Amino acid sequence: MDLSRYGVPFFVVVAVVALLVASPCLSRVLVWPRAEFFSELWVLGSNHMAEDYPFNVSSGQSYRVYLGIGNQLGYCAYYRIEVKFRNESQSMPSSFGAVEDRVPSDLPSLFNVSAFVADQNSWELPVTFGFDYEFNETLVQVGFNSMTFNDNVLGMSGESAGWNATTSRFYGDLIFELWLYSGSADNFGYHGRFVDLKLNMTV
Amino acid sequence: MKIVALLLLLTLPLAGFVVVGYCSSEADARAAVAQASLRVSVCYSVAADAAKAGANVTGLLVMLDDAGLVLSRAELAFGRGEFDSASTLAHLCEEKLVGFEDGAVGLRDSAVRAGFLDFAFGVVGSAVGSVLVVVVGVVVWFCLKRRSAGKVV
Repeated sequence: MDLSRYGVPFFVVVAVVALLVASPCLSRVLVWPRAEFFSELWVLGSNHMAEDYPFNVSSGQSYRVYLGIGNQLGYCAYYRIEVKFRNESQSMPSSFGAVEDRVPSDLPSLFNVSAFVADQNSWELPVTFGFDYEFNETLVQVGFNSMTFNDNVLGMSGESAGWNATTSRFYGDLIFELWLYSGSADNFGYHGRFVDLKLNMTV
Repeated sequence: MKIVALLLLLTLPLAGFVVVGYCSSEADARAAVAQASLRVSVCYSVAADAAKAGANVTGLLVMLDDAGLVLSRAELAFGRGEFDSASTLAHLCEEKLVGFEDGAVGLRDSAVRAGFLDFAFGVVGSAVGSVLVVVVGVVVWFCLKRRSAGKVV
C-alpha cells in the first residue's frame, strides 16, 4: 500500500485533533485585549424605558425612575451617586472633554447612594422621589421645603426655582453625579458623568 | 438675690453637663460615621481583591450595597444634626459587615486554587496535550510508513 497518498489527510486529521486539544489554551491566549475602560450611567423612566420621564411635577406627588450604572473599568468598582438639585441659575456639572477636566456641580449633595459593581456588570436602583414646595406670589418663585428620595426626607429649605419668562415655567434640575472611589487616594473623585431630570414645578 | 445666686450655682454645672453631653454626642456620631465609612472602604478593598483573583463576589457586593445604604442614611442623619440616629445607623452599618473579610478571603483563596487548577489543566494540560497529539501523530505515521516499506520489501 502506498502510504504517501494518505499523508496529507492523515496530518490534517492530526492537526485538527491537536487544535481541538489546544482550544482551552488558545481561548485564553487568543483574546482581543480590552482597550476601552469606562463607566456608564443612565436613568430610565417609570416603564423601564428611555421614555416617559417625569417632567411636570406637583408638590406632594411621587415619581418613579430607574438609576443604573454599568462598570467596564476592568475591576470591581465602588461608586457614589451624589443627588443634587439646581435651579436655572445654579451651577451645572460638566460631562464633556477629558475626564480629568470635568467638574461636578458646586452645589452640596442632598443624598449619596453607594454602589458596588463588579467588572462588566451593571447595577440598578429604583428611585421614587417627590418634592414639597410652595409658590411664593410676591417673589414669583417656587420655594422648596423638602424632597423625598426613596423614603428619605431631604431638607431643601432655602432652595428655590425662579420663573422662566420665556417658557412660562419654574424649572428645576434633579442631578445624579457619578463619583468613583480611588483606593490609592482613599477618597472619591468626580467620574465625569452625570444624568439629570429637567422638571417643571407646576403650581 | 441669694436665692438667685444659689440657683445659678446649682444650674451652672447642669448646663455644663448638657453642653458637654451634646458635644460628646456629636463627636461620637462623627467618629462612628467615619469609622463606618472606613470599614466600608476596607471591605470594598477586600472584595475587589477577591474579584481580581476571579472569585464570584456577587454576594459580597450585595452586603456592601446594603451597608452602603445604611451609611448614606447615617451621613444624612448626621447632616441633619440627629447624632443619636447617626451613631445608631453607623453601628448598624458596621454590624452588617461582620464576618465580611473572612468570607471575602475564603472566596479569594478558593478562586486562587480554582485558578491554579484551571491554569494547570486548561492551559498547560491543553498545550502539552496538543504537542503530544502532534508527536504521537508523527510517530504513528513513521511506524506505519516503516511497516508499509517492510511489507513492500
